[in-house]
Amino acid sequence: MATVTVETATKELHQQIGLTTDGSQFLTFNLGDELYGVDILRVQEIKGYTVVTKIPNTPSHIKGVLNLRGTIVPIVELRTKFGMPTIDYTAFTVIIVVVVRDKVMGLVVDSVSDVLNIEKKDMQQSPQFGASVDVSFLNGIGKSGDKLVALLDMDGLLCEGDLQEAAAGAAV
Amino acid sequence: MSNDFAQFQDAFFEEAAEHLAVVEEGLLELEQHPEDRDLLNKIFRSAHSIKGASGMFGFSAVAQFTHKMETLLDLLRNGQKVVTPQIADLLLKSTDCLKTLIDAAKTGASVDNETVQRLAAELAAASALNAPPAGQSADPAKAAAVMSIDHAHVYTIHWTPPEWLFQRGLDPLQIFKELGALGTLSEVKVDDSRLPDVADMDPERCYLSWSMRVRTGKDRQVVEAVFEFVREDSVLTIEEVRGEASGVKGEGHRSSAPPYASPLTSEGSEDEPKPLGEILVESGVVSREALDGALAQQKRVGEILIEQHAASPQQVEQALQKQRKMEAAAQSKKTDTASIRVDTDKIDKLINLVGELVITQSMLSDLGARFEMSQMPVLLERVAQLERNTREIQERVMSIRMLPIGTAFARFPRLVRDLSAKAGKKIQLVLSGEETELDKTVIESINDPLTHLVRNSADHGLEAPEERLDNNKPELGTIRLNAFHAGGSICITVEDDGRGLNRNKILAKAIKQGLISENDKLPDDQIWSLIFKPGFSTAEKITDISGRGVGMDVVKRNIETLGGTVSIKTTEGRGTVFTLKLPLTLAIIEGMTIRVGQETYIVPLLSILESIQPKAGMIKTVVEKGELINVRGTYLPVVRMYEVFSLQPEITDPTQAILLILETEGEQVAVMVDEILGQQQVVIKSMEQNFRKVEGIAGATILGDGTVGFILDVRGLLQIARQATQVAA
Repeated sequence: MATVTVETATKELHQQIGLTTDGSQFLTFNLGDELYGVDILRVQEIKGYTVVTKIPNTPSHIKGVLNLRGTIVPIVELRTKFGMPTIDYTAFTVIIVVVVRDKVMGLVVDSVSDVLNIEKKDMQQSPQFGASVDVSFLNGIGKSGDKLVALLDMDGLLCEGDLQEAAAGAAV
Repeated sequence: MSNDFAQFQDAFFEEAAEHLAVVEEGLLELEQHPEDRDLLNKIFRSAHSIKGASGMFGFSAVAQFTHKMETLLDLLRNGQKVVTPQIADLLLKSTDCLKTLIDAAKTGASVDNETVQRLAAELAAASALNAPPAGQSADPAKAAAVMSIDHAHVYTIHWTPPEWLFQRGLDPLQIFKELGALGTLSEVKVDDSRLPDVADMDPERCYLSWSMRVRTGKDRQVVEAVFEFVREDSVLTIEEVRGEASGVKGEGHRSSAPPYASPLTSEGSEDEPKPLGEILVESGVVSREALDGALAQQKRVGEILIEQHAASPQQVEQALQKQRKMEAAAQSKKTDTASIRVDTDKIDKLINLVGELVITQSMLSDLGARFEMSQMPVLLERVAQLERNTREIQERVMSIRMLPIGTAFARFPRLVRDLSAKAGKKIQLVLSGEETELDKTVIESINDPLTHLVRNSADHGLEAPEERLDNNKPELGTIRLNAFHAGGSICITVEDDGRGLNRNKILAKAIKQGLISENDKLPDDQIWSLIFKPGFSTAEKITDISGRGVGMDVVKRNIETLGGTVSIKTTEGRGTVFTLKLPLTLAIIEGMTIRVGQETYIVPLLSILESIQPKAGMIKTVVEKGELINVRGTYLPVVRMYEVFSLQPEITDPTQAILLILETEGEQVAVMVDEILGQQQVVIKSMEQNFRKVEGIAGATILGDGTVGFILDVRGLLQIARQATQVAA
């Protein structure tokens, strides 16, 4: 019986301090005027932008590779991946290092914004725009206060394109 | 067994495996040189070590079986018996049996007791001096009889050990084991009446006493000697029971396992269930040929699903890939836990070097604490010393992982011997280049592919003796295993002088399976590589050695995961050569750093023949075939690296640039770069770990300034360049 009380107490406490209980936490970042979110459990670290080494003959959104404490980590330029115009990097430009299917990758974004708790009820399916807008890399849309966050599906975003290329590359 | 024991057990299993290898290798050699006493001694020592250690760990089934082998070996060693092919064969079979026993002890799996006992009896029969001349098949019943004749005396023993027994680290179990070794131990009873309540019990005190019965051929003194160390303060009575010894002849070997052993061995285990086909053949419903024929028609689940349109070929292929990945993952887990044995010599040197490194480091920090510009030369000198130390340590550490490939070859003499017996062919195996060293992980991973290739050569490659004689070939077929260094790689060849690959058969089969269409004109190389397709086998009859078409694809895949290649050379009627080309080590290469525009690349030093700065006139352009350079009379194709990798170069005029003459798989090519920066050792980092394979790049490395540099894959570079010219043409 004691455990139940503890659980209830923890839940109440979480609600008081604003920790979500049935949703999850997202790290949000800016690309242009839009706000995107990634599941915080996927994020390994955030680091400032440093010069990368270009990989020859790869799609333009693969910015290059970086030495992250001895491992080689590919860096994806999210702006190019989403077909947005590139901008000059500023002091706010960061690399979000994420883990996707045991692979470590870096995402270049304009700036990081916040860590948000989004309850399940505040999440909805990504809307269908028809063929003109590709929403396959979205997990859904989240609402936090008056902010709308596009929640990215990391597996869909990074594996779909790049791993298929990998399979094709291996077949050659 | 308690958990503390587990680590010692692991060591035991590892050692046992080594000893077994020695025994097996020795026995094979013994077949060739039956008179070699030293060899026999070696085998005996290894067998003895297994027996001793297994007894210590309580694997009594192993100990007992090894003891029987040892008895026979001892007789051979003393010259009381002569090594005949039959005895050698029996010993080899026993080694196999011992292997399964040890495996069973390790995994707790069940053992085929019948085989164990049959072999044990055969060994006993062969060891009996008055037994019929070895060679006639031993009769288990007779063997058992021979054993029980020896058991002339029966003693009943009552033993109350002193209370300090455990305090002095003595183990009563050991006593029983020794008694068991003397003969047959039975009716072991423990008297625990003196055992106090748990609260009053001192765990270091012995409260037990035993009574037992021993049937042995040995004298009373021998039995008493067993208790030698515990005699003091013991209450021991040994009585001989008369009139019982002769009446027990038929008891046989079953009872020879002492009762206390039963919880440790897995006796009475059920036979493994057999496949349906085997049962049908055994009961005579169908013939072996009919079964094999039916099995040949059997399709894989994937093929059936595709035929029924339940799944598309792509879906099946995807599922298969997934399966392979899971298999590979399981495999990698398996190899990861292995340990390595290193010469103490190597370690001593390493420790010395680390000592030097520490000294250099303290000298440097001492210098840094109060540094003045005037001490610059001293600083440079010490940094140079540090560099020497580091490099040497690196080399030594690498050499720890290097093993001679002979360790991988060692199992093949036995394999070929068995294969030749099974297939009814005469085969000799020739090994060479065993001393070639390569990385331990590589050695472990090539074991299976090599085994498969050797089996393949023995089964498909070599013809039956009659066919060979008809074709004017020696009756004795040869399989050659060779290993050698070539460039930055190690090459392993598996060569047979058999019938070679049949071009038409492969083509017909490939067309039937829909791999190629009838109109395709394929060069030989591509035809041979068809045999690496999954499910491809041209064998007319499936044997239990090979022929199910599973395997060659696995061979290729395993080698490719290691970053190697498999190639085939074959001449019909003359034989086939499979060449495995593997990277020497998976970690470090010597490289030349070069620059193209802003980018730094590393070219493996081993592929560089020379570097030149061409003069005007050396470069010729051939219409639509690109540029050629005349190097001392030979024309080599020129590849501009910036074109292939779409880089921004600093120099586009070849006479201003540097041309590296590179060699890959016998081909030479001149690669144009801006500048050579220097030579250094680089640690190869995987690109695939977080990304994927990039054409033309063998891997990545971290450069001196912390940025990433790419290691050039010369072959890949050439392929990209070729594709580009083809598109242009």
